[in-house]
Amino acid sequence: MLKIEHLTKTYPGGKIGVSDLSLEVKAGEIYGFIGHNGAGKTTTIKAIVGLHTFEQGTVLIDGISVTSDPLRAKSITAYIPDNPELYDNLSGMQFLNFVGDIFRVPKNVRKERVERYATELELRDALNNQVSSYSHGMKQKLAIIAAFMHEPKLLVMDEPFVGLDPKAAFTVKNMMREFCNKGSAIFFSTHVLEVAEKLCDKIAIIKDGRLIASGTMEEVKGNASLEEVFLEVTEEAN
Amino acid sequence: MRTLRILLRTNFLELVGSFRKKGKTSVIAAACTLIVLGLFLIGMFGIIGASTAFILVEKGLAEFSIYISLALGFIVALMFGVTNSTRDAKGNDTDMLLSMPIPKSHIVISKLLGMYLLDVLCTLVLLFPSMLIVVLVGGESPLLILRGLLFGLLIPAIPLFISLIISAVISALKRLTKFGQMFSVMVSILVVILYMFVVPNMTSFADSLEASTAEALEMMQQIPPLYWLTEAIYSGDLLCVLLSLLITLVPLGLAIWIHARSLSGIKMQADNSKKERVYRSSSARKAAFRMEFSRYFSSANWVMNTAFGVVILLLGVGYVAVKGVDGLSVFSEITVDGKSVVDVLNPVAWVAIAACVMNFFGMMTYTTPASVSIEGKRIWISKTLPIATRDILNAKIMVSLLIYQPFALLSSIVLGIRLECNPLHIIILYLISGLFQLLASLIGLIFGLIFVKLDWKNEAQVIKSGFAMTLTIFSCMGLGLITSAFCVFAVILREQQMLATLILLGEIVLLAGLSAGAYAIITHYGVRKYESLNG
Repeated sequence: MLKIEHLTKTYPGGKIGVSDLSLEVKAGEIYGFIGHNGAGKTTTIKAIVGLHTFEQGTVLIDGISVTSDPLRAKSITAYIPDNPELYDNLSGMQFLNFVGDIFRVPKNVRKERVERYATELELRDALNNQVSSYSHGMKQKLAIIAAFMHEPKLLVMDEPFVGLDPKAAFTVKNMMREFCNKGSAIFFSTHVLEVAEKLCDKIAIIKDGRLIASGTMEEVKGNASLEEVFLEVTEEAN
Repeated sequence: MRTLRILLRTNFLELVGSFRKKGKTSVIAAACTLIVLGLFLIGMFGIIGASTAFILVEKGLAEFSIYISLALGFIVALMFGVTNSTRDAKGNDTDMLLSMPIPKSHIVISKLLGMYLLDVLCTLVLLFPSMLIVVLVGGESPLLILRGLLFGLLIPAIPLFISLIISAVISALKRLTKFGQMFSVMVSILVVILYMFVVPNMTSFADSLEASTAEALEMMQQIPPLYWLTEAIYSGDLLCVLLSLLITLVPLGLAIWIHARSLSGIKMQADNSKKERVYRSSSARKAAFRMEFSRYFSSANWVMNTAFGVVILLLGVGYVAVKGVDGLSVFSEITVDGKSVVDVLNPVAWVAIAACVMNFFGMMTYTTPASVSIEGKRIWISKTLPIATRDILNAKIMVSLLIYQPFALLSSIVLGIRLECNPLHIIILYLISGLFQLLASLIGLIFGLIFVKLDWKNEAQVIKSGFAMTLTIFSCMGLGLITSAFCVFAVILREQQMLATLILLGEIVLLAGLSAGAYAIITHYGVRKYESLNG
């Protein structure tokens, strides 16, 4: 579903964001992406969703290149940023209608999905309020509903659990699993290793823009805990 | 005071840092534009202040000239203050600052300082030349200048207080009703109209004023606070000095107190949980346009800064429709070969003049220079959605066209009928003004893409003082001069109607060609530039 080959991104000024990164996320997989702050997680994610250009490599979503056919690639992708800055002067409902229109989600389907997800995430009653009145967690929930609403083939999430209350985090994890069971894929970054360990089918560890470990959870961590492996491989890479 | 000093230093460092990030060329260009604008403002206000004072001092009304300068300074400061009050003064960093051991008053002072300094500058630029003339020509004591400078620093506290009160009312109205936004735009437009009416006419008012010293004193006493300030500066009367200190320092303290309270005020939230959720669908292009449109109308500041030209245009057209062109003194007083110009000009010439005037309003009415920067950190939304960049940019252009074109068409028809033009000339009038505004919008979008600023703290930074906006204004002024040349030729050759009409058609062809070129730049360079942006 997502294939990254030799991705290299250098920032103006020479700082390397990501260097020769390759990985593949298959349909039905939840793929975790972990690393220190500034390791290159967000840079990789922004390259996948078309927010960053990159000099080398290819990013294919369901076989579609994000550079040569960005619109088709975007039409089957959803992105949830770590700090969702949304249109403050719209109501939550207006924002969802906007996203639904862009992704051409029929009205009845839109209604059914929004009602379901908004009820699950306990945001239903606040949907008619302005986004400016939302807390960080509520904005995160709104961005999650907007992403799930059009049922993309690939869901890219940057630190999706930051700001969510424990119940909402639990609900989102269930939604993610259910979503992948239908044949879609999720690629997400996180600092919460316990979540990655329990939720992910595969993981990749990135350090200083380079992939230092990747594979299924068993391949990467074996019998040790993910925390131990993470600390060990990142130390080794030094 | 230590925390205030730290805050001011940090604000300054952040300002310097924002320039450093832009690169040398942008900084030099921004500095040049600021200097030109500064000199223009100082020159304009200084000349108005000095010429008004000179006329009044010559008439033996030296004290009245100080009074008039103070009134002008007050109006200008009020205009800036009210225009500023349409924006939310709470910056992105307020919550962080409130969590630190910093007195609220220091946070407020650090935030209001920029607005206050601008008011001080305007007041002094108007007041100083008057005082200089009163001392040099009127032979008053030089101490007057010292007192004037002292009160020049305090006077802006009054309009600042008023604008903060209006700001609080607007903010309350926005929360309680749907009309807060509209109210805020209306108040701003009214104050700007007051400014436009009063300030340029002040010199001619002074010129036509025939009053004795006693009559002038009586006039001044009608507004006691202004009179006290005038007396405090002119004669240094102790009671008036004390009263002046009272009416400036108390509002300043109140302004800071009100603002400090509103900083951490809990906003009322309506309970919309029982309200029906409306699901409606439209095409992706329409959705992008609707989003752009609602973003525009959700910002009173943006509307205020761009819709003003349309309001004045409609007022002017309404006036001409009722009174006719002979009702406008600018035309009725001009004579050619002993005849009023109104009787000399034919419909083609009127179309040329009307096109020129409408272009001026078109010059004030475009939303595009700020339309890219206004997306700020939310740009990730449009960039990650499956919508073509060209459609996003087209939506920005469409909003700009929509706020002017229908009114331009209406104005062309009304003016055309009133000026007894034939349908062809009505179409020509609309095409010239419509194409001019289209070109201005396209140029604005190009500059908006080149000089984009996504890391703003307050939207006013990109709406009012953005570099893209300033450059667009100057470019449109240049463009206005070029198109005026066509109109001048059409007026000169008015008797050869066919030739005059051809000249106006030539203007249409030029504007259409330039618009096509500008649009081509947007669809090629603009699309690439937008796609390379990062919030």
